[in-house]
Amino acid sequence: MDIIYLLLPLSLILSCCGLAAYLWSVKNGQFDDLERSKFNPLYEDQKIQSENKQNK
Amino acid sequence: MRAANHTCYKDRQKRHLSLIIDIMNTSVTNRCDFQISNHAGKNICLHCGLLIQEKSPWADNSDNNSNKNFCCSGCKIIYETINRLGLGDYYKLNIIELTPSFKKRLKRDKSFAWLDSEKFLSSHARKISELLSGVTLSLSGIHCTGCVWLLENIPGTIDGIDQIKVNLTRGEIKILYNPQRIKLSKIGELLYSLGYDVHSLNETRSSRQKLAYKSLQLKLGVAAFCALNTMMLAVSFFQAIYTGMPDSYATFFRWTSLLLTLPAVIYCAKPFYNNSIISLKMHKPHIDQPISVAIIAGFILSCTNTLLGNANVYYDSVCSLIFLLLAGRYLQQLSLEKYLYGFESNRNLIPETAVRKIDATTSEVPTADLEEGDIIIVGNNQILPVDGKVISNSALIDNSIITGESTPLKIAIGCAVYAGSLNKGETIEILTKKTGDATKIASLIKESEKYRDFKSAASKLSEKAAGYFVLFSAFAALCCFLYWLNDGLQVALNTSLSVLIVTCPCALGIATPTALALAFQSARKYGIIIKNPDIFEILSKARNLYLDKTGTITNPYPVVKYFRQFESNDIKPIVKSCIAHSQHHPLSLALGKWLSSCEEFSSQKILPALLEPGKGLIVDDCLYIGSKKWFDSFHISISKEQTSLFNDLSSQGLSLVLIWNNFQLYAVFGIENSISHDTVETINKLKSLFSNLIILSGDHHAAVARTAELINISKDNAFGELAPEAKAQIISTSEGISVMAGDGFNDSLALAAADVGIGIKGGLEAAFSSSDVYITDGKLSTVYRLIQGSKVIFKKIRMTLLISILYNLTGLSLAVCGLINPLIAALIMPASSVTSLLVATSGNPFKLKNE
Repeated sequence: MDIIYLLLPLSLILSCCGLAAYLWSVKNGQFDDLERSKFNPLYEDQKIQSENKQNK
Repeated sequence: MRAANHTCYKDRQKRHLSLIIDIMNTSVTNRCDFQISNHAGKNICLHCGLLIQEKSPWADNSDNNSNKNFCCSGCKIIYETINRLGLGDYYKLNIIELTPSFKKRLKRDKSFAWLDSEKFLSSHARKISELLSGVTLSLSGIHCTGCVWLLENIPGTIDGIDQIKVNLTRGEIKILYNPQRIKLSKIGELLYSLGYDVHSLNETRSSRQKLAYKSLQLKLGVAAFCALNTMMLAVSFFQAIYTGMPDSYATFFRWTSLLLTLPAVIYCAKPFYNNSIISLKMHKPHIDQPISVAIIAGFILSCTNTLLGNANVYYDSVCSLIFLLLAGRYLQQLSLEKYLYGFESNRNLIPETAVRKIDATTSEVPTADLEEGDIIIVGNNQILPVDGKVISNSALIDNSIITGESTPLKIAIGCAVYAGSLNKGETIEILTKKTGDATKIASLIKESEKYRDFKSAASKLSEKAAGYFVLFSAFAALCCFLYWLNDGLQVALNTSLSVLIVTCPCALGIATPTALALAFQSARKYGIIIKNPDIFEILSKARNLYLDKTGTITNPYPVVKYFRQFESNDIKPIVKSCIAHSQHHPLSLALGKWLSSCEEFSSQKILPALLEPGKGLIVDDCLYIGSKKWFDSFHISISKEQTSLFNDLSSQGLSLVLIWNNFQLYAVFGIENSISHDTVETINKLKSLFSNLIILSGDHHAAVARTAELINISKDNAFGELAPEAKAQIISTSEGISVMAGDGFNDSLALAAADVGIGIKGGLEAAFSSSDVYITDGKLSTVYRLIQGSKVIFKKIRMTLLISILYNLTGLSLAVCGLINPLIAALIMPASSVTSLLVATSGNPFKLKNE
C-alpha cells in the first residue's frame, strides 16, 4: 500500500487545480452578478449567428 | 394612470407566460419566429409589449409583414435606433421580463453634459490608460433579457466604446471607453435614445462592501476544499479504530491533514478572529470568540498530538466547523446583497442639469457646477436644483418632498425655495443660496443617516445569548481543565477541549442566520424587503405604531366613481365654484378631476359660494352642494328609486355628494372613500397587536381629525401639521418600542428615529435608505403580515436557541464528567446544528393563518 504516498499528494494536487480555477473565476468577477449569468445561454445563439455573419 | 399601467402589466404578464410555454413546446431553432406568429391579430407594441389602442398612428406600414405596431413615438424611435445599430436581434431576445417597469415617458432632449464635467469625472471615473477610461453608473430601464444583450453588444457598433458590462443584481453599468474618441455624455445620450437612463452611483453602496463579499466567496471555496479533504482522510482514521493502521500511514495522514488544515485556520477563519479581537477591545462578548478559541485550541491540540504521534487529532472537526460557519455567513450575505440592490435604484432627487442665466444669455450647466449667486431659470413642472430666493415673479411651488403637503404653495418674491421641490406655476428665476450638500434636502438625508447609528441599541437576541454563552463555556472549560489536571495533562486537555467543542454555539452561528436568510426570501415573495435582521425581535415586542396619514392610511387620490344627473340644469358651474372655494378638501380633488375630464369647463364663471363646515357649500345663495346628511335636513322629497340608489352607493363605500336647490335634487356624485375597506379592517387588526396607534401627519388638522374619526382612533392620538423634525421628535420621546410606517421623503427622519421604520411605497425611494423595511405594494395589510410574520420568526429563533441550549447542557454534563472524548463531541456538535437548522427553516413565516 506504499502507493498511497504517491496517490494522495497527486489527487490533492488535482483538486488544488480545481480550487485554483474557482479562485480565479471569483477574482475575475464571474460570481459578482448571479442574476446576469442566468441569461448567458440565451445569448449564445445570437453570438453564433453574428460570428457566422462576420465569417461570411 | 396607475390603474392603466397595472392592467397593461397584467396583459404583459399573460403574454410572457404564454410565450414561455411556447418556448417549452417549440424547438430551439423555431424559437425566434414564434413571437410574431403567436400574436397575429393582437395589437401589441413591438418594442415594449403594451396593448395598443385601436388607432395607433405609429404603425410601420411599409412592410407587408405589418406586425410592426408601436404604442408611441418613443418606442418607434427606439426600434429604429436599434435596427440602425445592427442590433435587431434584440427583438428575438426580449422574451423574459425581468422587472415590471412601468413605461416612463422619456424626455425629448435630456442633457448628459454633467457626465463630462471635471468634478464628476475626477470622482467617479478611473483612468486605466491614455486611451481607456472606466466608469460605473447606476442604470435604470432594464426590463427584459434582451436589454442586457443589447447593452453589452453596443461596443461592437459604436467607435470608442470598448466594453459595457451590466450588473443586474446591483442595477449598474460599467463602461470602458476611449475618452479621446468619444465623450461620456454622448454615451449617455446613446443609452437614453435606446430607453435606458443613467445616474451617478449612490455613495452608500461602498466598494468596501463589495470587496468583503468577494473575499467571503474566496474563503468559502478554500474552506470547502480543506473540509472535504480532511474529512476524506478522517474516514480512514475512523476505519482504523476497528482494523488498525500501520503507524507509517497514520503519521502520513496526520501530517497531510495538518497541512490541509493550515490554510483554513490561517486564512479562512480570519473573519472570526477579527470579530473576536474587535469585540474584545470593546470588552463585549461576541459569538465569534468561543468559535475562534475552539478552532485554535483544536488545531493546536491536534498539532501537538501529531508531533507526539498520538492518535487523537481533530482536523476534520476544525475544518468542517470553519466551513459550515462560513457557509452560513455567505448565505446571509447573499440574501442581503440580493435584496439591498434588487430594485430600480436611485432616481436622483435633484436634477443633473440646470439652466443658468448670465447677463442675458442662458446656458444649460451641470448642477454640480452651480455656485452661490448664480441665477437659475426653472420652468413649469421642473424640479428646483438649488436652495435659493425667488427673484422674478411669485411662484407656485409643490413642497411635498420636504413637508409632505402636496398642495402647491404661493411663494412671494424674495422668499425662500428649496432644492427638490417642484415648480407648479410659471417659469421663475431663482437666486442661488445653497447648492449640493448644503441644501436642505441633502441635510435631511444626512440627518436621517445620523439617526441610524443609534438604532443598534436594540440588540440581537442571539448576540445577547451568545454573550452569556461565551462566558459560561469558557468558565466551564477552565474548571474542567483544573479539575482533571490531577489525572494528567493529556486527560485535562482532552476533557476541556471536549467541553469547548460541545458547547460551541454553532446553532447560534448557523441556524439563526439561515433562518433569517430564509425569512428574507419569504418576505420578499410578499413584497417586503428587509434590510435589517434585528427587526423581527423588535417588531414582535413593539408597543407603539405610528402611522403617516397621506398615502399610508388614506388613498391620496380619491376619484369620482359614479355620477347621475336628475334634472337637466347645468351643474358644472356649481361644481367649479365648489372646487374653487374648498381646494383642500379631498372630495374637491376628486370633483376637480371629474370636471377636467368633461369638455369646455374653463369658460364657466366661478360663482360666489359660502362654506358650511361639515356640510357643504351654498353656491349663489340658492344652490347647494354637499353631504347627504345636509340634504336630508332640507326635507325635499325623493323617489324610492333614488333612495335605493343612495343606499346602494353608500354600501359600496362611496361618499355621496349631492347638488340641489330648495325644491329639487339635481345630481349625485359617488366618490370613492379615501380610506378603503381593507385599510379599516387592517387598522382594526393592527390595533390588536399594538397598545397605541398614533397618526402623524403634515396635513391640516381638520383632515387628520377626519381620518382619525373614520378609523376609530381618538383625537389625542392624531397629530396634524407636523414638520418632519417634529414627527421624529414625537417618536424619539415616546415610551416603549415604537414602529413607524410611512412613505415619502418627508418621513425619513421619523422612520430613522423609530425603533423600526417601515417604508411604504408611494413615496420616494429615499425613504428606503432610512427605513429598515420597505413594502413594495404600498398596502397597509402587508404591514400587518410583516408584524405577524416577525412574531412567528422570533418564536422560531427562540426555539432553535432552546434546542441548542438543551443539547449543550446534555453534552456539557457528559463532557465535564469525562464521558466523551473530543471526537465524539465533534459528532454531537453537527447533530445539534442540523436539528436546529431543520427547525429554523421549516414553514413559511409570512403566510397568514387564513391563507
